[in-house]
Amino acid sequence: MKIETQLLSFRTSDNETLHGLLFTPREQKSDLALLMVHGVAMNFYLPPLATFGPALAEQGHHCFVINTRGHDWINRAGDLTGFCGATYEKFEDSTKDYDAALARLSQLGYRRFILVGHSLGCVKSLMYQGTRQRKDVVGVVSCSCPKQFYSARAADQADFTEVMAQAESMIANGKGKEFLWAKASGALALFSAETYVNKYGKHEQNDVRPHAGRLGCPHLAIAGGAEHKYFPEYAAELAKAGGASAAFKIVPGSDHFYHGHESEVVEIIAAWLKQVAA
Amino acid sequence: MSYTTEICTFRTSDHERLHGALLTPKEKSDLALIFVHGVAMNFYLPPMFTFGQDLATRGYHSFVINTRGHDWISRAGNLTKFGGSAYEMLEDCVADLDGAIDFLKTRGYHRFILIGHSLGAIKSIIYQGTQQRRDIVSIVSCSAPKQFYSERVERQPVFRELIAQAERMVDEGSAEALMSVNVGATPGIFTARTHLNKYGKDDRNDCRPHAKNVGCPLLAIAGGAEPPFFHEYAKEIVAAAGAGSKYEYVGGANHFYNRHTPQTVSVIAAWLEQFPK
Repeated sequence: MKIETQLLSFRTSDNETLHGLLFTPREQKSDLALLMVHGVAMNFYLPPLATFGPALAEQGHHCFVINTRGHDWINRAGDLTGFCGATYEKFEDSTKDYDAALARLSQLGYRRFILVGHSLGCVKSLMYQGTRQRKDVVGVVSCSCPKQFYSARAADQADFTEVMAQAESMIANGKGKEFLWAKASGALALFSAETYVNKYGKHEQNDVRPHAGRLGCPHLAIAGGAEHKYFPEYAAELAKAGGASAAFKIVPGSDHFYHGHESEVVEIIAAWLKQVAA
Repeated sequence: MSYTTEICTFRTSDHERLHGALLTPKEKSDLALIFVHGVAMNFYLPPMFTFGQDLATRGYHSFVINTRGHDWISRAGNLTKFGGSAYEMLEDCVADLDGAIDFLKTRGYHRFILIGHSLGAIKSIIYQGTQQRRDIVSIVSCSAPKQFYSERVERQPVFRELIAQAERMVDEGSAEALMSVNVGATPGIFTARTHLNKYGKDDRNDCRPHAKNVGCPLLAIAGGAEPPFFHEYAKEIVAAAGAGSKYEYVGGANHFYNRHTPQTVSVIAAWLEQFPK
């Protein structure tokens, strides 16, 4: 095996202990690391990122595939007696998760970073760098960034405004921590009312097009050709917002998880890395 | 580092895809330790992952796995379904451990030791008590909880009502509805169906009858800072398992063996010396 795998933990400023897998080429040192961030209720060992990480490491890239606190639907948090996961996380929490993961990588000697997100992990990555504008983040790759802000979903999903109104009503009645079953990317999902409003509410804070316009680094947006049409559309819009340093690629025939198309995505990312991170 | 880490995937007979960390020292072996986590834990959390790392450093091939009961609620099946501790049934542990052992056999291992923590200890004993596999040469039970119905109603005044509530929910067609239920002193989440399956009146998670049938030596450990019923149960399990089995006490340790990993690993390592690597 050409790569070494380490399971590492890192601690956020608010004392969440998170985990990730660091894949390192055995004979290729680097000061550049790819930080790979999963989507809703996924985690560091599920595809597609758990597939992309080792494949890119085989090509010489150091890859840290992490859990955010939004891993799985409900996980043990804090001292392991609390609850977190995709059901409970708030967007603003992800800043702490990224800060901690990058600090861990810095401890290991890495000085330049590329954020690679999948699905909600793209939204988080673009929000993070659009807000932080870190000089040591030298690129962002978004794989299937979902166009899931309020006005887009209201136009696309028949019952969305009704479910959102229900969540708002629950919060108004002091039931913001209670469960709400709602669709996310076409499948049934579980959120607290507070989290549902935080992630998808009328504030549209998860419209990342403004963030894509102020990353201060190159951005590659990828989408699958077999995904709902709003994924390729959004990839094009995000690339347009990024200007000359941004690009988008469509993977023909691929679904949201890139099943059967993993090697194509890895090649697309690897080719882009040659241009931006030489 | 004296061992390599590999994240492995294994599939159960009912098509769940589970994961684990296989920690392999340089020296080859046909013996693998299989670490089974407790309620809503997973393969990368302490104490099981830490135990696995330390024992791999001592030359033991260690496979720290997820069961389908990992985390409270996780993605299952084709990743659009719901699984995790809130949804699993106790009997699912047979398919999960079968899947893990089948995977290890494809890697050349032929002898296995199950090391379970908390509910993982119960699962390990139930598994071997029902399957009686000759290739399982020992079981290590770390803090098996005495949590079956007839015991819990004595200790927890509200427990009887919680089970009655779960029974009503199942009868009324709400078996999949989620209930907030304490597990020990901490909050938990279960469907009504799972709560009844794991903790209901049939006492199916009393592993003492299964301990009689394991057919291999068993080490039962409990932490000195745990409630007395953990120690009582460990001794009862050892008595049921019979000759060659042993109870060990880790002074000062809580249920997760926080800050007592080295002592606990030393106890396990001393036990493992009877099994050639």
